[in-house]
Amino acid sequence: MSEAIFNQRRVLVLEDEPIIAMLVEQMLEDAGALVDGHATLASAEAAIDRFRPDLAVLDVNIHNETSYALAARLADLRVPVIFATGYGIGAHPEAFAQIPTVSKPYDISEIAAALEQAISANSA
Amino acid sequence: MSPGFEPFASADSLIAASPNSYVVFDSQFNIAWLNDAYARVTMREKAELIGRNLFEAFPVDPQSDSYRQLSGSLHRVLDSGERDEIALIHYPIENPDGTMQSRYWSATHSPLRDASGTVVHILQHTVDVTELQELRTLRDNAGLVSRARAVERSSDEMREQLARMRTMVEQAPGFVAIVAGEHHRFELANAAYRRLVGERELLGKTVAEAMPEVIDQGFVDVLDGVFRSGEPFVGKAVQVRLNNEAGDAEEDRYLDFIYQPITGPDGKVGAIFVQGYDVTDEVRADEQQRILINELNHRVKNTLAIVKGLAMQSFRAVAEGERAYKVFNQRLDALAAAHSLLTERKWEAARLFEVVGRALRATAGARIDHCTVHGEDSELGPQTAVALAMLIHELATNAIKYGALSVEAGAVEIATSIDRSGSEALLRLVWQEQGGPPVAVPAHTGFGTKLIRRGIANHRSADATLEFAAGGVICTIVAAVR
Repeated sequence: MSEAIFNQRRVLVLEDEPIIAMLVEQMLEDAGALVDGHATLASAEAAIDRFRPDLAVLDVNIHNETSYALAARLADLRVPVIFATGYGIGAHPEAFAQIPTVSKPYDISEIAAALEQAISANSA
Repeated sequence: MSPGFEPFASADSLIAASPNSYVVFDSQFNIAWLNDAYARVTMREKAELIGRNLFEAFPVDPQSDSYRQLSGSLHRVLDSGERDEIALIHYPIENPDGTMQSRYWSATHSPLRDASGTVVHILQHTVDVTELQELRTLRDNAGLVSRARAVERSSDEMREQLARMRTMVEQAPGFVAIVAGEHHRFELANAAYRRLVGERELLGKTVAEAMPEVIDQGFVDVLDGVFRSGEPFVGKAVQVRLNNEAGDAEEDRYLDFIYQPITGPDGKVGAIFVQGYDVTDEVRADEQQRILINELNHRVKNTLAIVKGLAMQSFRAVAEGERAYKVFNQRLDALAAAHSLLTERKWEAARLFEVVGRALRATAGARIDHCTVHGEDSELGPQTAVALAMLIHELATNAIKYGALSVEAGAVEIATSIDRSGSEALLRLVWQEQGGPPVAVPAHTGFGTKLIRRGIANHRSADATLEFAAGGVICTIVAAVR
């Protein structure tokens, strides 16, 4: 796995906990990514057309809602998606069970590994 | 038809003309009909008996055995709908002159039903056995009476015992039912069972008729299987969707139960005994606890992620903070790795090899190829697991910086064993480095070394030694497994 996959890539980040959001954005920027961070589902949704992300890192639980619908829309646009969650891995509904998931707290190598998995699944 | 044959007009006249005495009571025990023989044997006129209550027409002391026997038999017929017999009853009746005459009788009470099947009358066939009784009394001084009474008493006792058993089953805390035959027809269902299924009519109906909603849930198939195979079926926390009393809503219940086949004398299954408990509350409580543990884990993981974020922001703000951040971040990752492992095991236990393996992977990364773990694997208690993960992290960090993992030729061997000779099982883990640069005793001891030397102090025999041997660092850790 290599953090080089982030170089110049446009990464959409959805995370409602500000400190964790800052951490993941910082980690991604350090790895060379262009990051667009959002704390609400609506703002992330609106950013899809404007920002045109190459990759997306989504927290599953956002203010008592889930980001599954957003993940489905990104998948339709063939944007590789990974979930970041504080809940156990494997707790997703069946339709989203195949989406690579990192468990909090995570580091950049875990995110890189999951995104590589998402990219290869997407191009398969 | 033979010439001169006289057709018989009425069967009624037969019983009316019978030399045997017959009388019919209504359900209040009023005399509804009697034949001539009955009037004769009781020394009364028909007209004076019709419409009168039996116990007014033939009064006896309500406390007497005579009353108890006769009234008991008549009530049993009403309650059970079945014939009842009194082998021998002493029942005195009044002479026409007003004096009392001791009499012994033998009586049969048969139920008479109306069109709907309800018992509305009772036919008594009674035989005056006084003479016989007096002869016998003469002969064996009441031997027969006492025997007959003994038989009646013992059957009374059996009836009482049966009634007690029925009461016990009825009031049992678990649900109990008996379904008979290949169609599983209810023969018995106690109060708990009836409550479970919303107080519906069960007796005489098949399971499929009484509880159609369970057919598609496979319960009738299971009963069929038990009936065919003669093998009992045990269900643990099995979910069943049942209609409520009104039949307008369904409710999920969780049941522990057994279907026990009852075999007859021919060795074939005749019925199935159903017994069990509603464990819905327990299942819901377990589910609630699972949700709470999951939520707690989520909070802890989130908090660790926030601590990582805070650390990044804080350390980066100060000069030389980057290196400190890296060290801190790795320790936090080691802690988080141990926590994740325990979360997956619901905080009950973690495997020793897995704890060591994950801590090594989190710290040593690709250099994990230079590490071997062998010996005995074991379950570890949560605290031991977390403490061991932190120690392995510190050992690996030191090895990467100064020891065997700092060079390509170096290797670390980790050997484990479990000592079960004492009351508490003890883990012994030896970390041995080889092939690294020459070891020098460090000039000052850092946090890592201090932490390692403290070991896992969870037992009086717990110990940790750190040896800076020339060939490589050797660390020996002894700690309670749990």
